[in-house]
Amino acid sequence: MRIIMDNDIWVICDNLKYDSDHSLQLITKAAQLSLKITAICIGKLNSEAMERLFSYGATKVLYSECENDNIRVIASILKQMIISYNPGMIMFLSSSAGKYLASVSSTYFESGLTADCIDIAIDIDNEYVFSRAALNSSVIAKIKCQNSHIRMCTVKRNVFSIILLNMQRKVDIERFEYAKSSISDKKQVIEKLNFLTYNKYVNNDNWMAAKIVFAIGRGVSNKSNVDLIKRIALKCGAEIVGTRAAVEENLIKKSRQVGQSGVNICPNIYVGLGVSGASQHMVGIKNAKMIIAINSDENAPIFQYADYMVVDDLKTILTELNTLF
Amino acid sequence: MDFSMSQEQNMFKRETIDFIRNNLNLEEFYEKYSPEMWQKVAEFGLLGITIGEEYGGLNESYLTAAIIFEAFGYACKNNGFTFVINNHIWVSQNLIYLYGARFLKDKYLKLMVSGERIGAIAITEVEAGSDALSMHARAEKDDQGYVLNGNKMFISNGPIADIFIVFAVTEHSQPKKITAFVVEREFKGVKIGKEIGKMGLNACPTSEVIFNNCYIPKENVLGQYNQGELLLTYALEWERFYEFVPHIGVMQRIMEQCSEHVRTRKQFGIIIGDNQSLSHKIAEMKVAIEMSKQMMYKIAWLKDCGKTAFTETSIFKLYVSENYIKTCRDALQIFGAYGYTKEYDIERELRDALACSIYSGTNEMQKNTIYKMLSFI
Amino acid sequence: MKIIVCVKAVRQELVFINKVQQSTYVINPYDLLALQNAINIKNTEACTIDCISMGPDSIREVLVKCLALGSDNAYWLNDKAFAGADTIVTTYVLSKGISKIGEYDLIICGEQTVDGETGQVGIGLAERLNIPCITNVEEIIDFTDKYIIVCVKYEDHEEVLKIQLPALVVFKNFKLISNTVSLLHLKKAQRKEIVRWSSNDLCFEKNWCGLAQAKTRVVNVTPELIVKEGRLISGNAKKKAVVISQLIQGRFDADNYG
Repeated sequence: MRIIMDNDIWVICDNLKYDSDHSLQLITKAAQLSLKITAICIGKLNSEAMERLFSYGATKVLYSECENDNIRVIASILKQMIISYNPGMIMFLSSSAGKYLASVSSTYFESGLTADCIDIAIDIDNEYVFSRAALNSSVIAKIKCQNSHIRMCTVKRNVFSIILLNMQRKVDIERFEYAKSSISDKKQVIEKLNFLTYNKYVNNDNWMAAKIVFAIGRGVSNKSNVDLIKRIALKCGAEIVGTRAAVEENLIKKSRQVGQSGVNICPNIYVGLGVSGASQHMVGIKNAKMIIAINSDENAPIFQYADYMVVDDLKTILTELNTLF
Repeated sequence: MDFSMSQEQNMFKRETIDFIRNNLNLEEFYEKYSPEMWQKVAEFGLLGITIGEEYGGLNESYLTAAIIFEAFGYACKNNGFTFVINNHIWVSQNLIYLYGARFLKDKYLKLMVSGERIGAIAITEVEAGSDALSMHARAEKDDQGYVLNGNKMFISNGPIADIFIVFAVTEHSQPKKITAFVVEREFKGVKIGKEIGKMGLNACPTSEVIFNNCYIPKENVLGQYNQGELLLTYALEWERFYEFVPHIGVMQRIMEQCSEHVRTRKQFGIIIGDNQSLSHKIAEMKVAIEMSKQMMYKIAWLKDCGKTAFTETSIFKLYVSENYIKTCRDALQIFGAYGYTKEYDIERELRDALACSIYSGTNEMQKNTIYKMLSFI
Repeated sequence: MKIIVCVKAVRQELVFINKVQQSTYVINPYDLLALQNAINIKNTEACTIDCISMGPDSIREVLVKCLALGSDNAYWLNDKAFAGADTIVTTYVLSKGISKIGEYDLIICGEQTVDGETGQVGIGLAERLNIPCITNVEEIIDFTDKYIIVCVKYEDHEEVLKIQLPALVVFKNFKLISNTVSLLHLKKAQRKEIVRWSSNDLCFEKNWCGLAQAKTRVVNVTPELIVKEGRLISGNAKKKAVVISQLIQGRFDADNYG
């Protein structure tokens, strides 16, 4: 039997795009946990986006108009909202903005916060249990909140999937008027001198949706192996990602890091090349449909999670693979 | 007896290992001296560990220096470069610090500790190897100083050194008397010979150094006039200790490589470490490392107490060098064909190691010394 | 200018996997970058740097290293009661320590630690101290004793911000290898005093008593990534490569294999 909470869950939607995939993923998950889902939208008015949230499980939208995209102002408004409504649990996006809001709120309300959850459940005591990867070992810590009546968590993109409800929920949008006078004056001490958008990043996260992914681990060990992997990947349409270790060894750039402190992905095929399989990396690919692991160490933890295991020298296998595509 | 390391010694050791791994293990300089690496070592403060603070040193104990240089050998894959540093510190700079007059110390030590001047020692001659006292180089006294003539052979650091500690005959009586001099490369009549190609230790350049009517001011006598033989004994004692301390670290590094290799390589379906013929070789390496370390602690303790350790350093030199070579030889066998290739480090390690039964007095000479000293006990 | 850098000691094996002989603590790589930036400021302008760290008895070396790298003072918040602190407790204890240090112009933090990986402490600390907090900082472009100008990088854009002091900035990146510390600096750092404060020294409010205040509690630890019974692909390298290529191209016939 699945236990459903009757208290309110809040999902803090992306202030620039309320119905972003990431926001919808959180709303979908929240709908599996509670009957009352309030989506918080603080920013410019966009009725269409707000209405869309109801098709994924939101039962109410609490909206506050704020022309300013200054995160410090948004945080102040959110504080006022929380004081007024006193929700039971709040889910934040693990984006830069989401993390900021989560930190400020949890400190202000002295509330328990679990960062980068990979799962949320309710136990038999009717309490929320948040899961996240812990330390560098292959363990998942289950965390409960205590000494606080508001529970908070941040969730990364692509941890949960989006499910469109087949019934239409009643649209219930409430406008929240905040006390402008109490907005923190911290914003005045910060002045924006320059702003630069680079499109290359905006348009360039398609790789996250790649069907085939080659992951570079520390075992790749040198640039010539990386070049070989790039050649093979190009030939079979795969994208290249890496572990934290590979980033630290300068084998791949930070933006392609997968796992706890990088991004999450869910490809059809994941090929781990010299990846040892620390939990922090593995949580980022736990939704991959097929995991192929190539590593010279037969005791590498990644083999526990792999569908197909190849124990061999990486360079040798890569050289052979290169001739096959 | 207290064998625990202080927190400070631990930190020095770890910092040294990190520094070396990040700065000194550049493959392109495995067979070639690098002035940049020298500069880095000097800035890091490795040259003046036991030298007083007034000369820019750390004023640390001989034990701390031993711990640091064991770590140096462990982390630094460039054995030739290690040799350059030890030649500079222990048989050049250190002799001036311990036995030099105030004038010499003030003139040279700061520059040597900061790495601006590189030191070397010149004892050996073509006809005088183990029998060093049969040297022909001579220095004739005049009013202001000495005129030095002679050829010194196989001088490590020769091509790069600025300051030479040169031993020469100053009285042709029987037995003849020798004296040590501090000779600058810039002195008139100093000529550095061509670099001599060697089997290993190629990051440490070696050459002949020729003195042709070289004029040395009288202040540059190191120690007492005509007392060079005693100084030579001291020099050898320092050399036999500190040039061999890093070898213990090298043995540790090689043992770890071997241990890793036999645990991962499989033949006939089992890891090769399961063969006792190989695992025993590694056990022997471990025994040699531990025994060497005990002796290292003892000698460091003797030196920190201001005592002589002539016999002890001979025993240490003999034991470490034989086991160092054996360790490298066994490592080659453990790595098999891979070990013989240039792609692995083992062949270079062995080439570097082989010299150590020869320098600082051949192992045969050490046995003579040890036997001779028995009559004093 | 007075700068405070928040530093956490993390286990060395979390930073340098496979390269560790003896287990010890090192400066969290994110904090190392923060400290390095503080030192860069000190190199161009008269300023003092204070490092502050909360941690157990075994992290003394990390604070010595901070001093050797160029920090003027080191403050060590050390009490058994702090063990197991979550972000709420950590920010509280750090804020009390910083208040006790006194006046400051700038606090610099690293984005996260390699062991906790929560990325919450810097922001929470600024909230407690009631000073502005700038995250995702890429570099400090300019500074006076009144303000600093920083470049901030997000996923899709960058901004240049001018912030009045006092303020807290959170650096985004990490640095694995510290600048070389000379043995002489290390020796001097060893001789310096490290200020050590326990909970008694920090003037906690009455209802605060360390871990009991933690808002989160680990109830269970499981190796719960889905463990699979994987299939071992055998044969020589060529054979293995063929199977991999078939798998990637969706042409692998599992039933007729092996």
